[in-house]
Amino acid sequence: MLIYTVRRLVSSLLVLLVASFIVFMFAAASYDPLKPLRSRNPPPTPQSLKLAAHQAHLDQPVLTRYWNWLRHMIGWDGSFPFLKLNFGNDVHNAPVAHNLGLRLEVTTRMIIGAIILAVILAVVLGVISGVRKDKAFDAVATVVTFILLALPTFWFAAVLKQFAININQHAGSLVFYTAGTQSFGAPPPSSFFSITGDQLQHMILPTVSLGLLTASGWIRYQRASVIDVLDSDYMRLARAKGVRNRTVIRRHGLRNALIPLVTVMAIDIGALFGGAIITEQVYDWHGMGEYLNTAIFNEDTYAVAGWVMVSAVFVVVFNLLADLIYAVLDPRIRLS
Amino acid sequence: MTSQQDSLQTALPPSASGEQPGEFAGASESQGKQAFKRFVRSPIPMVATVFFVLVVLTAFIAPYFYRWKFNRIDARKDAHGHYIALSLHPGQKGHPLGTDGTGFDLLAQMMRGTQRDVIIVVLATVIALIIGITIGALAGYFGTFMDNLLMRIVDVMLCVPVLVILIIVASNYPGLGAVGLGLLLGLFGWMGLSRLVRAQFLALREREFVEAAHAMGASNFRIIFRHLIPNALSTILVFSTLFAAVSIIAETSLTYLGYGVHPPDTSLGLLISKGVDAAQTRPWLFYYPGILILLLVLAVNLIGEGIRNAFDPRHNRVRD
Repeated sequence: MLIYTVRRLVSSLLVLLVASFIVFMFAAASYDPLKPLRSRNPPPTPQSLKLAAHQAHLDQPVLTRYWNWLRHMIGWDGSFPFLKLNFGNDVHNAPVAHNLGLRLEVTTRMIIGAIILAVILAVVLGVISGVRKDKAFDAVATVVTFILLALPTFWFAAVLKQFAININQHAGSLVFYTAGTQSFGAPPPSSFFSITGDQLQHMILPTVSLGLLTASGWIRYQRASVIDVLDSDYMRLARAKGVRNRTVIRRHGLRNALIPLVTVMAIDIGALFGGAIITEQVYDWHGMGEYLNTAIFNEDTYAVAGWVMVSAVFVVVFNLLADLIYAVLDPRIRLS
Repeated sequence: MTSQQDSLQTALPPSASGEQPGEFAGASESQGKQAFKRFVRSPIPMVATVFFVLVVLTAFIAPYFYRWKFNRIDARKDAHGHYIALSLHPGQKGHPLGTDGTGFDLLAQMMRGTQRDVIIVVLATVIALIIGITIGALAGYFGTFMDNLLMRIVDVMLCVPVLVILIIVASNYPGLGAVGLGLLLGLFGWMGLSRLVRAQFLALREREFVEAAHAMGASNFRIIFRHLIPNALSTILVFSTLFAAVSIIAETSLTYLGYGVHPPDTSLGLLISKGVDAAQTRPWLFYYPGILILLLVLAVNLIGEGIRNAFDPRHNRVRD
């Protein structure tokens, strides 16, 4: 298990390293951070352009810039925190890492909420559908999941939002919050990890819209996994021994049927991230998506590169965790 | 298929092709033909197929006979002799689905949008299939070094969310349009398929019929194309339909974020992106194109499910 963990860890780090090189080269080659400056009227003097280029390290060779960027990102000078995660400064000379951290906190809130909702739905509906295959409940759940699977992300979010607005109008009061992460002027949460009731209320609609769409695929998968397990020989043996059907399903069936969902969750984390970007836009959340849009518009090399690295780390860490959890839950995987 | 392969296939024990003996009358038929017959006999996928074909045919043929063009504004003289663009409810003044705020006919735009989406999806799927099968086949068939190299490339590409890659690349080419978008979706959509094909090839290349083909002197190229890919057909077909469905949704997402199809051209994604702002005042602009996308994607997914069941009848068997 230790060897397996180390091997997966090393390969994940290598993947991130290669990705960082490609991402930085792409961002450096395609963006011109001086564009906002150049497009000013009256035009800036050549000296100030040169100074700005120097400040943005544009006068150095691109490999040197990559090396410096990488060095600051994973810098180690013995002081806490050991990983510096310094992505450089954006075009407005603000630290990318700090702003990204604030945005990531907003987006993560939506993603975690959506994951929790989707897992509950997937396990409950998937297991019931699988156990009662081809019965009425399964038929209804199948129709609903197929419709959810076919919904464009932002269209569904916008439909929910319209629905909530109509309810608000009929009720004459604010039942659902349809925009923003918190009310204007609301007191901020007491610490980074706590969350206020106001923020929770604002989370409902985005979480439901992202969570339902995510759940659709997971429910199908969980259902297939349950059907697979129920059809297996050890289940038949347990039933043949005379164990009650309910007990067989709980003891032998569910334990094995829930494992594969871990992998699907890890694979889908990228899609969730993408979905969150769009859902944010519909519900006016100032999260990662908005930051990326601004960064691309500003042709901001360091902001875009930092953004992509954060999302890549997010995806890689989730995949790593999923692989390790899977290896713990299912010992067969370690032998291969 | 050649007679050589036919004889090889029939020489296989029935269990090797994943089917039970005696379940089918025409046991000498190829797996593909049997699957096709099962597909045609299943009602829901056939309804979905007919619906999909009808919508696509309508989108491509009906514009020639329809009085409004997608890029023509319906502007008429008002009482003072000024031309004003008409913003109409569904059914008013010969516009069955109404017009948008500028005076474009919604039905004409929806047909144009469907055309563009079909082009995007077909392009994307074909490109993803070509790259995905090639990479997966090379990795799975030749193994070791090639496998390691290609799969690490896939790992790297998968470590950034696909939508983010698409956004960043698409934002570099502002005038992308439908064809460019299709290319892009295909170029960054093959990774899942290559993994699936690789896994299948790794299993298939150890089988007796591949060994037999080797012994008869068949080249690697021939073995891959004549023996392995036909056996991975169900995986490839199911992936194609799922990918087509995902591509339609990805097109709407990219267009919504402003990186896809731009006016004066239109796509279903652009229609609902514009419709979002009018959801309160002109709801038909928002709901009709959205429901069309929903039905199209639903149909494609149902077709995929039908193909999957047709190739794997055990999947459908009622549990005892």
